Amino acid sequence: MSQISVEHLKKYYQVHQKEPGFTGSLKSFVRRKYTDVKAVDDLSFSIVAGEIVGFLGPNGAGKTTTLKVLSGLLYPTSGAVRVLNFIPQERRAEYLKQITLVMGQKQQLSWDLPALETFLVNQAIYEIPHTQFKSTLDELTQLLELAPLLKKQVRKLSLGERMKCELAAALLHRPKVLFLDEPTIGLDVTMQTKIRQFIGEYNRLHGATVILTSHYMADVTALCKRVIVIDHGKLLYDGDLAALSARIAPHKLIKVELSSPLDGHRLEDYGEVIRARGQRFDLLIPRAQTSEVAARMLSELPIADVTIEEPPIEQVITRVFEEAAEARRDAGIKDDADDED
Amino acid sequence: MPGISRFDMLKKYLALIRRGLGLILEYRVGMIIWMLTGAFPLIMLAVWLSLAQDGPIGSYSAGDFVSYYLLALYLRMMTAVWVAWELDNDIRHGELSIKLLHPLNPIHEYISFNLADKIFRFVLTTPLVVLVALLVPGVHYALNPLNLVLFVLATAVAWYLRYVTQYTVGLLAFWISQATTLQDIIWMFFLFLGGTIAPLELLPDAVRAVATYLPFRFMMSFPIEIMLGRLSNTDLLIGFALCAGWLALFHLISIFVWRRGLRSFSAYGA
Repeated sequence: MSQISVEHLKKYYQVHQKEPGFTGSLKSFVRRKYTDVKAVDDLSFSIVAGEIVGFLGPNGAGKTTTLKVLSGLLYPTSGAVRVLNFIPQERRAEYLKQITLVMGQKQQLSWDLPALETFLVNQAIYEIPHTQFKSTLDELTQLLELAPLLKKQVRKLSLGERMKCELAAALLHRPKVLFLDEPTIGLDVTMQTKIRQFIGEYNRLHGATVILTSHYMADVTALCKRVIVIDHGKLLYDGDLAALSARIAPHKLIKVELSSPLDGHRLEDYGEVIRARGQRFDLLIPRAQTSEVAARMLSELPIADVTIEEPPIEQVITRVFEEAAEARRDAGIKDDADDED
Repeated sequence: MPGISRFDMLKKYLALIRRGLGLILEYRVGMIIWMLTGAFPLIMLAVWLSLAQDGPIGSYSAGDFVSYYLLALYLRMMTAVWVAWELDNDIRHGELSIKLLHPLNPIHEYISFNLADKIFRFVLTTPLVVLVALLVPGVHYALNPLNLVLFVLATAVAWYLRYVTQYTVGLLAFWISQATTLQDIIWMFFLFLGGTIAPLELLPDAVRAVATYLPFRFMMSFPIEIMLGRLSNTDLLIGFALCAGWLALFHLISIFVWRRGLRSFSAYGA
């Protein structure tokens, strides 16, 4: 049964346009120009309990807006949204007690107090029984290695330490549904990995449903089997991450290392050489011919090592957006910025 | 609301007030300096004292002025509200999102911070006010148990009236980018019609007649009038009836504006 269902969600913002400078201010004072920004434009999807879904799209695609609608912060312009059988924008206490939204760029911890102080406030606000609070805090402290951080003023923590505390504060009430908006933004690779592992662990331990946005594809590939790709507020792809690259990228990558020097041009016979470093070459081979070409290379060339890989997911995603942009151009749809009044 | 008992609410307030006190003690120096900026009634006292040197003005002798402004200063301390600025900031920068995620109406988070401040101020200023009242000659109040109870009640009303009106003005930040300017204008009316510039009795008759019924009086002057023993039983009754009316009205308006505002909240900034 689906736990999150979004049907034909639209969220338009009215934004008033102002030219820079004093005359711009005057003009805008006399006559305000408004444009509708279609942050989310007819989006539908559904997610079942326990899934981790990667929510992908460039800046301004509508990811954050969708997450804010799902967590009850924004009223949809139209469409039907249900999470855990609640209508989010009604913001019922019983609903809010079962979800959480973590925004990498916003914090709920009091800047000048230790994180523990915020935890205690959340215990009261979420009506968490004392024993459950203790066991959850113990678990989070262990998973996130919080012990040395809890009693330090938040402002004295590093960015990564603060993010770990933010996550803990957001999960103390053991939410069933997690909306994570860029939870690893600005963190170094080690800390990203830790946060990522923690999210996976939390999902396994508590069967929580997770929607995750991230600009780091590593977060997505490590955690999400399924991705939802949106751009300009519209759905571009919803499904298996692996199937996406198969559909979008018609090539696979063959990496060969030769055992003796060879003229690079000879490799052009097998496929497009996209990279050559000494005796190592990367070739793009049409997906269907990959194994045949690889076999030919093995028999015809002095090969020390060969691997066949999917192209990097970043390239796949970039390709999805390029295709969507081409489709928009072909359809003659204007960009939002061109609409007036 | 089902599932939320009074006891749970009390626990929430205690936790929030505890955090509020933590913050206030963290910022104690700034808080005390800020409290001192509320000393404007003392300036008015100096003005009126110099005018009252040659005899009483209206029904106010020099001693009456000192008694009046000592309490005015105390009222100003104990009803200080700044929620319009908090809301303006939180709404326009999207910080309200954080509070909206909690299963508790954000007004409770704002109010509990103000209450923490009131505890801090109460502890700091009450002994001083009592000391001044005892030491300065000419200070006199209609001290009896009933008046004390009514004074506390009227002070609580004054605080909540100031709170809920400022809360409503702050909520206008959902639509306009300068809600606090409106608060500054209201503040001028409050100084004049609430009894800070002059005791209401000394205002021109026509102005006083109106001011008696306006909410500004119940944000400042009314509790002082009680302690100065200047109100008959009928005045008290009418006064508290008006308090109840204004409270109910502003409370309902604030709920209405809150609900409408949420619909247009854009949760910017992330």
